[in-house]
Amino acid sequence: MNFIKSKIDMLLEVVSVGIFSFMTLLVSWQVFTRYILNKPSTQSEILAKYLFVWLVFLGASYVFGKREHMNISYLKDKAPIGVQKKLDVCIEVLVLIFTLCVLVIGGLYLTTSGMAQVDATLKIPMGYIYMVIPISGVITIFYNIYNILEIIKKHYTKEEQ
Amino acid sequence: MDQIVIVALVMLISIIILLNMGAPISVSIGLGSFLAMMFIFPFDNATQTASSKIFNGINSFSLLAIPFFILAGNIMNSGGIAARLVNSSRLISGRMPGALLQTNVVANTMFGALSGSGVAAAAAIGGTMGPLQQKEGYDKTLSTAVNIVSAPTGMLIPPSNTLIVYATVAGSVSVSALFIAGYIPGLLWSLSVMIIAGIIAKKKGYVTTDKYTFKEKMKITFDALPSLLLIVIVIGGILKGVFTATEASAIAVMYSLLLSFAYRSLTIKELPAIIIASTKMTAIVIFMIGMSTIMAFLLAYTHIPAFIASLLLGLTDSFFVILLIMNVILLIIGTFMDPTPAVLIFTPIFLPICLQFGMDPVQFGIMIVFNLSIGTITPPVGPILFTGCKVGNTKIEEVIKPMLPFYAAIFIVLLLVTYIPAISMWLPQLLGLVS
Repeated sequence: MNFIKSKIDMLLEVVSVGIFSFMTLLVSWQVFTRYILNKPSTQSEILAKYLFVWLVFLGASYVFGKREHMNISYLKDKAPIGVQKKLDVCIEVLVLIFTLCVLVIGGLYLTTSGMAQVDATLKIPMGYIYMVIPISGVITIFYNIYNILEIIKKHYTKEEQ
Repeated sequence: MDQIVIVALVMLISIIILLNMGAPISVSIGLGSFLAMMFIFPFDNATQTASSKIFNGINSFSLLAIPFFILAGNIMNSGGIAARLVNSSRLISGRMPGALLQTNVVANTMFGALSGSGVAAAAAIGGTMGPLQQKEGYDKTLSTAVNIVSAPTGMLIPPSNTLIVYATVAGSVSVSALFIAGYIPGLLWSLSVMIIAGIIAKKKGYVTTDKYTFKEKMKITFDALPSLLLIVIVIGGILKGVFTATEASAIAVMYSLLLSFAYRSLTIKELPAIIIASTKMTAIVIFMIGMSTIMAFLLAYTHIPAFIASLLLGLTDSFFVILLIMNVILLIIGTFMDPTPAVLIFTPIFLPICLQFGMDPVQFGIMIVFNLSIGTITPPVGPILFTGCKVGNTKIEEVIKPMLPFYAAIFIVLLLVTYIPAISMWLPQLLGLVS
């Protein structure tokens, strides 16, 4: 499981760096074509926007894996360690339920119905753009399961000490 | 019970429970809203609607400015820009009472104008100033306090990601108008800190008389010039209509990269790690925006804003008092919640009420961001407070007392920003950005 996690982490890192760099070049290029070449490029704006959507969803999964999403931990931090661990498992389960319902199931609906919709500028089915939602959902669920197992493992080792 | 009331209650109560459990803010908002949505739609329909709301919330070209400004800021943090800014700030404030405190404020303000991250400012500038201040015998807790209270100005002085987030949730508000509107309130914040710091420094007898030769002055100015030129390119470009805020942010990335390579403070090898860190920061903020789109849909459906408006109006019909109540609520929320999620949650509730009374959405945006920025320097949860204390090697309990007069001064500026529209509106009106 650790091996698979580190591979997925690495894959997401490589993809994020790729998308982020390409996006930066694309938007800079857009300014360049408009002013230097006098040929405004409408496609680059739409493409950059969709790349951004992909970056956000995949990035969000990556952050779920690291358990670094912004939260209000003020009350939780005051609870005893045992309660904290239970809360942590509980939170992972809630994230999993949400991800399963909204990102995986809802995202799959969007993707399949989106295959019939075509983006007017890029001439590609919207389904390909929506596809990132269920993909990031599945990755997040893997991370949730991984995190739950890790938290439980830590729980026992702490108690043994 | 009315169906709408049930939906509203389910949403609010589950969001509050999830937030207090310590669940991610994004999921708390999303899951709470999704649960409520199942009372309106069948399951299939609810999943699909929620999913497409998130997508639509993220699918925006103007939000694309946020990752670029984050990346540009991270690139500059790794470079030797902080030290250069401190030197040039010293040139400006080197002869004021408590010169090193004043320099800290000026440098934080300049840093804010470049990167917009208060935490980064507190870390970078505080880290550079701390040793200098200690060498000259400045009280450690006082200098830490000054560093902390002046760091949030970057959230008001453009480029500011919090203002972009506000523009997105508020609907048709121009990012350029908001950016320009942030200057005077942001500078007033710094000024109020400088005045208090000056008074305290005089009492303590901190007088530094920096003397520079003309040649030194020129050198320091030239050193800082390339960094400060970025402000001219970004803000000038947006104002002149050369490019949109998003395009400006991409140019800012390119420019800061060039600068860091020229200063040799960054190598290509370090770049991927910086991009990954920026991706994480982006995903956290933007994912939250996506989730809040589901909530915004339900807020509109359940008429919660109208309900809260009627509650407030039942208490008083004075807009003066209503604004005061809003500010108090936001100040309390801000002590434990970050500005971005608080903007996402409270803009759709409070903005319609203020619009009814004829307040300009630009002024409201400045008010709410100013207010919530104060929360970043207050306990129990204040990211800038924590960072500043860590950098200054001081305990939070020790730094609170010297911070009190500064809180008071900043609160007074908040009242001015709330009740005097011209402070926010004069500059954008002058430049023809708002009617």
